[in-house]
Amino acid sequence: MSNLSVEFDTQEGIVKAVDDVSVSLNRGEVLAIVGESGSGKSVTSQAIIGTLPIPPGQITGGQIYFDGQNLLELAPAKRRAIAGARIAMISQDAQSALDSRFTVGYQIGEMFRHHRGWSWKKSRAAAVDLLDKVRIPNAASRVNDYPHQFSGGMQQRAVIAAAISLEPDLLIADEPTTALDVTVQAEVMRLLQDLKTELGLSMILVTHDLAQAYETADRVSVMYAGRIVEHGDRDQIFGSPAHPYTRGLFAATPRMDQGDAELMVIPGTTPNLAALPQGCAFAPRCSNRQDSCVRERPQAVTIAEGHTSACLFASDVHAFGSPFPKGALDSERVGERHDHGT
Amino acid sequence: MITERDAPLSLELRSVHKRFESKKPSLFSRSPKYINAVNGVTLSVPAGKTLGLVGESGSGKSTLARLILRLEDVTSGDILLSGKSILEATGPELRRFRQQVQMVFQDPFGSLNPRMSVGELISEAWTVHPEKRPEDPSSRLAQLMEQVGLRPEWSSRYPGQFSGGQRQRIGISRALAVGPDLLVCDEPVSALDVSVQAQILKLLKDIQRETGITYIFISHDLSVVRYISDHVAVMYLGSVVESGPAQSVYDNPMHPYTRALLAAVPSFQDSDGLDGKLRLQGEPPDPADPPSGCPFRTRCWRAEMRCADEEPPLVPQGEDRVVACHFPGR
Repeated sequence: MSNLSVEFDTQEGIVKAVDDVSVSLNRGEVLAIVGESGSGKSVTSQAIIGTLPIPPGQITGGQIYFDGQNLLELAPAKRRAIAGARIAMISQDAQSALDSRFTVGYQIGEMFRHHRGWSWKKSRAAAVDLLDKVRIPNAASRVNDYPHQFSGGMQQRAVIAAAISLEPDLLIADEPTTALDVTVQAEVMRLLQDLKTELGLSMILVTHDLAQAYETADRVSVMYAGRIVEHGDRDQIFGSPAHPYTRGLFAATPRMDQGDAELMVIPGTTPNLAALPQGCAFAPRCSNRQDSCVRERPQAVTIAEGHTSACLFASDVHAFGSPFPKGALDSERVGERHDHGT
Repeated sequence: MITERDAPLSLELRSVHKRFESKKPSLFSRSPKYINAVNGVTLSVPAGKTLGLVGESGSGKSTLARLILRLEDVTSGDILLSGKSILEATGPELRRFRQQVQMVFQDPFGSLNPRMSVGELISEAWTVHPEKRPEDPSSRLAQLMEQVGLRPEWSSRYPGQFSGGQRQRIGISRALAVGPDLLVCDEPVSALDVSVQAQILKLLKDIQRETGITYIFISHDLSVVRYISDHVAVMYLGSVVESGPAQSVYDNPMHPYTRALLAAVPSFQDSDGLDGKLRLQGEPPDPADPPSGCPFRTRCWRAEMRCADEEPPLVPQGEDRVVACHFPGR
């Protein structure tokens, strides 16, 4: 995906929800898009799968290549065929993704009947297999249940089952666990990880949870006010972040291993997209702000191979090193274990 | 049970039960079905401290909050505020209780009347509790707004003009207006963005330091609870399965459920949660049909015969810790 821009026509004027965003994803990789509300992370994923509400939304620039084809230039029918079968999406709200009037099995089976023209009987058997695969106990009997008979965690599993039914290449998971209890959340993330390995899926995980991104992603894009402010592989982002916003997010997230140590607060709130400042969008909240930040809008600069930051002082911020105390990151400890040859 | 000998207790719960009728008796079943939403909870919070309540949805933590606020009546047991039972309170005594205990809600969008200005919202509390009306309401209003980080000149604005975090500040300021002793916060930051969440958490801590107010803090986010709480109580299916000082519970969880819960939290640090040992199978049982013996045994990897026969009582384990498990800490 390169230079994607999405605008929304709102009462307050034209709003740039996604501004010149470029990301790429290799087969079998997990990309986490991290950001707060209004950062454009969900709009980006909607643009990829083609569920962007147009109007008020409009893609004003850029290309989205999937397997060599520019999705934005395809005819709607062809695009739908790709979006339905090869790109799948699961969202935060499993309850609204399922239709309460039909059984879970019917809704999953519908994927096969619609896209592959299978018989009802064959589709139903495939639905049972899928429910089994997403670890729903007694799949053969639960397939006849209606969504309300499933718990929240099971509903999300059923949605995942429908999403992987046509063996997609890319799965977009938009805050897949936000509405779930922490134990169920862990199970769903584990399931997604296992499915990724098993089916060779590529995944885009949209999340506000940095720790979840750390546990799941190979690469991370941090979004703020419609732009990617930092991008890098997992160890670059967590080991030596090069954007003050990324560092601020780390410092503002309570961590169990820190006990009740003081949190560092990012002052202010996320900006109004209809009235973005002329310079860096994060400047009003930034503790490293200089005069030039208010005048000049920073472009992404490369800090290290595969690691970019849209900050005028990216290399200074990068030089601060790890935002975590030594040994706090699991990857460091894994490294140590290797060093000792155990 | 949380006891700190020196500090006076702000709130004390003594084997509190709350039973809901789940189904009306039908033609075929003679006796109605009951759900024990809160099942014999005994807890106390010293004045000026924070008790964090954690547990999955359906564990009874929100029902417990409603009982403390007297929005629901207990089925049995007693709730004491500063040593006095709140259950008997009527008339002026009840009014005083309603002023002493305030609440901050999860949803900063739904809990504020959109047609009232911020100033009206905050000073409304003085209409309800005229005895708490300050001599100079407008300067007190300004002071309250400053305390929560709102500019006093915004008092004529309406909730719709504020962001989620600012609305939560309005909610907190409104609760503080009548000078409560106890603030019940039910998921106060779960609707907020990470950067804003930190501001509100810090604000709550600062207010406690300044005023010595006591908090009951309910959250599904265990990292947030660790940050804000002095004491933690872990609830499962209506019962407290473990409680104690936050640091001690988090560093050395003794109940298998606490261990599983902590292991499930995404973290930068331990991957124990993903290695399979502490995976919690299945989901909490139906509260209308709880398992015999220990409520957690159906999901517990250490369960033995004894767990099905005997419900483990809460027994002290070291200083200020109680755990309801036959095989704690193993």
